[in-house]
Amino acid sequence: MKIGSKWFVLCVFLVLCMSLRAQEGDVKKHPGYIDLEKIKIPDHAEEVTDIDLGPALLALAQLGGEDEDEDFSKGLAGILSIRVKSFEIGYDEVDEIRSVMKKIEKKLKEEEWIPIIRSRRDDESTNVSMKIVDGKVVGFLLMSIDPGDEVSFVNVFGGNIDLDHIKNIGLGLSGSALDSLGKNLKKF
Amino acid sequence: MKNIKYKKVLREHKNRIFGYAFYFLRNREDAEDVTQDVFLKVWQNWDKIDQSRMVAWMMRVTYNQCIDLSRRKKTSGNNRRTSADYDLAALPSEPNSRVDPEWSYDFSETQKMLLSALQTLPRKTQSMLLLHYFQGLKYETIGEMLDTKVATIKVAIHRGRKMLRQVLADDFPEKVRKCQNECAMS
Amino acid sequence: MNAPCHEIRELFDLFLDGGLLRKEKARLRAHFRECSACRAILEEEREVINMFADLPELPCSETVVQRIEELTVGHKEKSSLFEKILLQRDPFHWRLVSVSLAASAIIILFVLHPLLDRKEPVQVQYTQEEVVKARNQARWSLGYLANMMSKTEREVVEKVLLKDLPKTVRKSIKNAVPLFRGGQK
Repeated sequence: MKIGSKWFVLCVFLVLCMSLRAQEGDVKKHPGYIDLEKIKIPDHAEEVTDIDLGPALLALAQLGGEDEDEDFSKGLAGILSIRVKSFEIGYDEVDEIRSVMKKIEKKLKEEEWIPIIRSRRDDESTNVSMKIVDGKVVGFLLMSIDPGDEVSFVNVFGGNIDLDHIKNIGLGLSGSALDSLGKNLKKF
Repeated sequence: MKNIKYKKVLREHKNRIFGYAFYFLRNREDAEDVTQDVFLKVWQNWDKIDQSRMVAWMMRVTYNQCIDLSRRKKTSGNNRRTSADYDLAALPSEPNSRVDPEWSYDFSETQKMLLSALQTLPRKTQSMLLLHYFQGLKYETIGEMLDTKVATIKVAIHRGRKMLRQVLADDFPEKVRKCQNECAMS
Repeated sequence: MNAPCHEIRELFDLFLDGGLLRKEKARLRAHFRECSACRAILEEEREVINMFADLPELPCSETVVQRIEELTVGHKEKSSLFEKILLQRDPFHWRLVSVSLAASAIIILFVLHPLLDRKEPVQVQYTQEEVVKARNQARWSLGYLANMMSKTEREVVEKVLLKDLPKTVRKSIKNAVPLFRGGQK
């Protein structure tokens, strides 16, 4: 009975671990997913934005919208996850961040992501890439670095991302409105 | 780590355990069985044994195993306590599938005399004499082993020695005299 | 006066074991010079001890040692978890293993089955506050993404392409902004 009971307990434990990680595992396997976990936000960094919205929360966020937020709700419909990491960066941390960006770029190339925007001015650079599967946009990745100012990583992925709706969200929130919303997020 | 230490203990003490078991049981196969049982118990109880008292522990287990085996044989009618009980003469030549053909020992007359005389003593006394004079264990170690007071062991050994002396003198007077002469010359 | 014999004989054990003090040893030797009986007994006792010492240390055969090692060290080294599970002959053990595996399979199917269907949203317990926060975060993230892309695109179009190219080419590029058609300033 000792051997049987030990195996039974082990199997139950493994199953529990699997079920707890199942949701996360599903997300990580998505073709539009990019692992941003390796990006370490420095302890002393200011103006930190660290957003991790999974399928469950986004689904609830979509349902909880008001009528005038139709664009936003529709924009969220095809999105499974939003990951944002944005923080202030000093000149001494630039090299480390650039090496992370290079590794991500290499992965994007291997996984056949389409580069949409490659912008570089002085030491400031912005890269946006898109993942398309069966004619549908399933992933976005933005990497932007401005040494002495800010570095940002944004990964959005889902079943079918509607670019027009995202554009409209952007139109509705530009400049000071976006900044204001960003600051208000810290109040919650 | 356990494997290495265990192997070291096995190699260091195998002869001690086997020898003691043999002289106690007077039979090679039984002594080998006891040796195997003792070292299996050492392996199974490795984490529980105080390493500084390993020898005493092993000897105690050997003693207990020997007592158990001799009792089992006694009840089954296999144990005959006679002066010819030691299979000393049979060792080199007796055909036996379990006997290692490489292992053989020719005991001298004096040694055979002692072993025969030893059999006439009580088991515990035999054990104490072997442990102290053959194995070289101190009274304290024997006391720990047999769970007996040191004073009791001293008395038992003293009496045992006296009894042996008498048996040797009574049964083997000529040989004892011969031995005495040999000892004197050496 | 020489000590009495019974007193001397009580010291024989210590004398033979080498535990006697020098002074006492000298006392014994002095007694032996005058008492042959005690001397004879001591000699006999010494011979008995010597006979024990002369007993050979019998070697334990290598066959036995190897057998012991196989049953202990060798058994532990060979027996991996795989072997412990799969090489057991005890039918009761196999019964237990199969019952355990069957139970585990049932639990896995029961737990994972709802997660395989992604069409329905997974019902998780979040507070209203958390949902509102998530909504704002999502709005901000998507807005940020859109603005970054739009801004970058404008910079590329206006400051790089439009600057140095002929007017007609500039116009056609402006109209054909890849991502955000009719792009805005």
